[in-house]
Amino acid sequence: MTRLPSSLPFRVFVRSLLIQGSWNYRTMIGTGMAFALLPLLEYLHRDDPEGLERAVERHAGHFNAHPYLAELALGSLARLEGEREGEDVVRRFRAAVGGPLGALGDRLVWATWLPLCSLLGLVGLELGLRPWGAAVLFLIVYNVGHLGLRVWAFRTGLLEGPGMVHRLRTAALLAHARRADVVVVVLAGMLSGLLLVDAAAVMAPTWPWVLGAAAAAAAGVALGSRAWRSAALVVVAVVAALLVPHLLS
Amino acid sequence: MTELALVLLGGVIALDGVAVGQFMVSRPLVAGLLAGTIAGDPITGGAVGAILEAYLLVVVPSGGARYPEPGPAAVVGAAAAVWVGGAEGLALGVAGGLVWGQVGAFTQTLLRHANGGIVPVPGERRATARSVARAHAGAVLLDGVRGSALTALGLALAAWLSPYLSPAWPLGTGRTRALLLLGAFVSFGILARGGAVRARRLLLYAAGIAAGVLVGFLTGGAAS
Repeated sequence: MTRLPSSLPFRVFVRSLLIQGSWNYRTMIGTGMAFALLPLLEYLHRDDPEGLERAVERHAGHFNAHPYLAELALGSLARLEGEREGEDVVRRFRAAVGGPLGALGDRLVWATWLPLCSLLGLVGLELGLRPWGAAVLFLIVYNVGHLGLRVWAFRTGLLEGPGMVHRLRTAALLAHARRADVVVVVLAGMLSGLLLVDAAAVMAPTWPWVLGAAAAAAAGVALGSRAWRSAALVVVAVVAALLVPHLLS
Repeated sequence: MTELALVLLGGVIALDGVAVGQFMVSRPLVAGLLAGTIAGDPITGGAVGAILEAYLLVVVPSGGARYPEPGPAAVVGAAAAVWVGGAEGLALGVAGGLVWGQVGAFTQTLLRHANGGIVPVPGERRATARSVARAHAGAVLLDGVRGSALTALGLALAAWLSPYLSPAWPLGTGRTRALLLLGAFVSFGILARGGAVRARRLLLYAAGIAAGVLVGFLTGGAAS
């Protein structure tokens, strides 16, 4: 592999924090990937403007993956470019990794880590943590995982290149996601229970509220995400119905 | 100055949501608190943010799907709640935040279409180092402007509405909060379900409820 200045991987990583900056329905994060790789590509092709243009072209095309796990692809592509691998190799690798990294990232981060951290903050609030304490707890816990994943992914991609696929399997990220998922469900239950106790203190009688909460939770269990919009609409409609008479008077 | 600070906050928060870093200061739990602090009442802002966070637990920024945009919505909702004050402010803040999240989603879709028109697309528009850098930076700037404009419009609407709201809201703050949180139980149910209804997950959820009730009674609850 071409010897690179030590600052180059760092510069690519920092730019990768903006990888979704130009998200669009045509290239998705492709433009962002090219943007992040620019310092490396400009260095490798510093005496070859046409080579630089070809390199930018092959990285600016359509690509989509979870933004944190895209670091794996980014690091691997940086290694492939550093090893002066052919265009075909780079294009085939890009085409192969996007989808799996997207699905895995969605499961690991958006469906598990983010709600787990949010629930930690909300449960903390219910247990008496001050609002700033809950917010800081959420931010610290979330970003330890977030940045840890990004750094691990970028480093793994850079060190292993396309061999990162094997490391991805052995890292057992899905197993971690499944374990964290258990915590999410228990915390969601804990928050539900804490809110029930709160409601009992302020609602008299309490049973209509408990019935409403149980019905709402049951709707979520039965219908999944389809129930969300209806629930939000009902809440907005009830608030509007109580406020609107005052608006018209 | 407060309004300007809130508008700028909305822009920064919108950037954090997708384009820059995703450090999650754009989540309502944080954004509502920040907006409430700027508007002069962090407790009310934090309360709006916490309720919106409970609703938006199951809303995830996944790929090209359209989802409610939480950040600027929480800023607008928190500010509206502080300006109106009291239980009706809390209700308006949460309901307004839920509505404004959908407006934000619509503007994000527009932004993504606009980005498709400015980025270089290999085979159609030459992708050079300069064109990629310019397009990417321009798109980030556009997102920040969009977030600020969205926040400014939401704040203007809230300011226009607030004199028309009567202080005769029928419920106290505690009951209003409990009522608003009813809808969030749908989110809890969705989390309990996961990808499909499974007995093990429902048992874990029930165990969590039992633990929460026990801890709630032992600690005396947090309702105020």
